[in-house]
Amino acid sequence: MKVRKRKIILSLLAVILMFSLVAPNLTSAESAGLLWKSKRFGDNLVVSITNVHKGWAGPKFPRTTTPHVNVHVDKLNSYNNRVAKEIANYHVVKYKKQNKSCIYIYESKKKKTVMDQCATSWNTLVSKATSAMKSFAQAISPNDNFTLIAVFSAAAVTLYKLITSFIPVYPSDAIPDGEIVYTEADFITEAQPSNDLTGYIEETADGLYDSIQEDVPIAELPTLTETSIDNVENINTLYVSPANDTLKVTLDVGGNNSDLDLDILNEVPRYTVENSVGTIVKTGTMGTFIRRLSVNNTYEYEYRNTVSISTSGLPAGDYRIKIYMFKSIFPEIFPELTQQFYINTNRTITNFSS
Amino acid sequence: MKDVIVIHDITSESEWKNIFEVCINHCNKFDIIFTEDKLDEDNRFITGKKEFKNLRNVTIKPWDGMDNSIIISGSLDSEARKLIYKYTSPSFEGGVNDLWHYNIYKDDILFLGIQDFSVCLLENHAGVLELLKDIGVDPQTLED
Repeated sequence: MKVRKRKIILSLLAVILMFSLVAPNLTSAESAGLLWKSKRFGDNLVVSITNVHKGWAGPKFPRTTTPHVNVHVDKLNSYNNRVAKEIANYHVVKYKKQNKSCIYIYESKKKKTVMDQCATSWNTLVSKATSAMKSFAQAISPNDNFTLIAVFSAAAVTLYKLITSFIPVYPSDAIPDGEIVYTEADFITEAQPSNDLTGYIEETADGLYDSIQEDVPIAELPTLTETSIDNVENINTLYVSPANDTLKVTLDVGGNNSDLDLDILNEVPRYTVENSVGTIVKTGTMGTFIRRLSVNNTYEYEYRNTVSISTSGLPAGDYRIKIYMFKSIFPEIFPELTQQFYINTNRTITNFSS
Repeated sequence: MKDVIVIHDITSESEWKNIFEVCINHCNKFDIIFTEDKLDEDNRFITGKKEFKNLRNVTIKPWDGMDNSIIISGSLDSEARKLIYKYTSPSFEGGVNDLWHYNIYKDDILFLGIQDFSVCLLENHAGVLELLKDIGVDPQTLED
């Protein structure tokens, strides 16, 4: 179980990094302080993500007013659902250094810098950060099949909103090129402060905050229908092959806001099927959403949409299906909306993989 | 010289109980931050919000450190002291502090702040250092 928890933690960090680095400035901050209402994973683990707030955020930002978010991973008592133990408390800072964009993550329970990377382009940083997190997870547990997708799905919309309003911090010019206190080179590419923080506190907290500049759009993403995705908290897909030359797709969307009703009932998802070289060989629309009782009462509002797609005209080979919702596809946010599959010569469909 | 002494994780600091008790018994003002989330007993971030709002002679204002949050300020009288103690004391024995963000002051001098549940900031101020000395705590050892 320990390994599973660590992978969840790492997965969340990967999510934050991914979305912090690819998302443009599209939305304003969530109104509530706690952006992601605590969600449970596994054995009484609960994960909470805060809104951006001022505070202490790790040795690299020793002032007490650094804008940051926290990811709390806690364990609940089984008898009263109260937090019994804090597993991790991540402080995540998005900052600028010269012309570079950077992400710093400090875990204050273990007193460890988890990541501190900069890049001239956000895309480069996304790639570095993601591969670093994945390789770290694999190093911990190469045989654990726990997938990142569940966490991605559950956290995606909230994190997207959070990060798009997450302004970068400009650290003091006096940052010394001190020793690197965390030796995982894959994670830490920036100099870390030495134990002597003299020089860090020359600039006032007010000065630091005043120097914050608006972030610039960092990547091209499709236009979002903001109102709609606001209310979606989870998407699950199931791809099966119930008969030869038939691909059945089940799409479940969940949320707790009654507005989701309006959003989803007006939504008709589309799909495309691409062959192995990326050519679209088939397009279509899914059915209409039907409200259903949520499994385990996870969501107050849950809807299902199913479609059976004929593949009879397609030659055997590798394909990828992509589902488009709310006028756009969000593979980064809902990675399960795309799925690879293989049409065999006997016309069965196998090898589903994301 | 640092502005603050940081205890990165109060639950693993062996002197935490002594530090907290000497500070809260010495201080006479407090403020505490809550989000504007709806009251929900499962939401740890607003633990105690109703009780703090109901204390006598407190002021409630928006907090400029986060969107849609409030800061409740008042005298650290016995009622307020009991409330803070009630929610913080489980952290003395390996449990958790359930108050997300608060500060306690002697007059207008900040002595001790809790942030993000488990981070403690002690002002590097003569008054604080004197209290630490009284209980035999070397501030140099707190950040190790």
